[in-house]
Amino acid sequence: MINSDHLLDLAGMEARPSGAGAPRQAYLRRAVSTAYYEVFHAPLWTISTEFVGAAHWKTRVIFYRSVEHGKVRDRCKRLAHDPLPNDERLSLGLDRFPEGLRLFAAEFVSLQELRHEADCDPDTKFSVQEAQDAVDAARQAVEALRAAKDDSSLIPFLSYLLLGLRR
Amino acid sequence: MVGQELMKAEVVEIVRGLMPSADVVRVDVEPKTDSGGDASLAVRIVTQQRPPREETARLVEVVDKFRTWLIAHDDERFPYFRLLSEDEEREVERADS
Repeated sequence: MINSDHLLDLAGMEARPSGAGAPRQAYLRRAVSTAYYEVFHAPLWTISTEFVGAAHWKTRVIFYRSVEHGKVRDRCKRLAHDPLPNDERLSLGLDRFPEGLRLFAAEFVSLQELRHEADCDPDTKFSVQEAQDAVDAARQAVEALRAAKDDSSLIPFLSYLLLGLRR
Repeated sequence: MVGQELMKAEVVEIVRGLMPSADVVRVDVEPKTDSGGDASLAVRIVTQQRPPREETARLVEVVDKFRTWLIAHDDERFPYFRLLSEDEEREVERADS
């Protein structure tokens, strides 16, 4: 499995390239993109470890592969909603998720958009500081997700992230 | 839908509360379509100096508070924020692709 902490280290290095002069945009774009992949992998790791026993390690790959970037973004928009939209409120029995999980969801949406600009929009340029901010934001989001380990709302949060609601 | 001037004033108010050192010189709020095709907002905050790291780390809270405010005003658009100092804006303008 991909170690998400290693992705963060990599993103940090890409945001602070060595060499004289201003860093090339290519490095900064890679840093932003890698920072997003960190927040993409962190919930996948949590989902696979929460839902699949260690004895069935190989099965975890199926969970990893089942998650689509666009669907997770759309679900995160709703998970970060305060209060939750009516359908989610009724289905999950919650008015809202705790702040840490809500901020993780909001950061996921923001970083995915930034990744899209970094990888697909030739006109977008980043400052060095913005690239470093993206790495810091990813780190903070992953810490918020990890801090929710014993929170009773983590399983509903991950279940919705993985499966959404049938509409 | 809330007017852009009201949105800018709300962003300034939220930033003042969460990033007290941020000397905001400009807030731009523009409608945009995000990469998923959803109507959303592009919000750019420009400060005179870059606020300290412990304050810039609160940008996601600014997003959360502003979005909650938008929802309370029946506006479901997700706000995508960029935070830049004036120096960084110049850096970005000069940067090669």
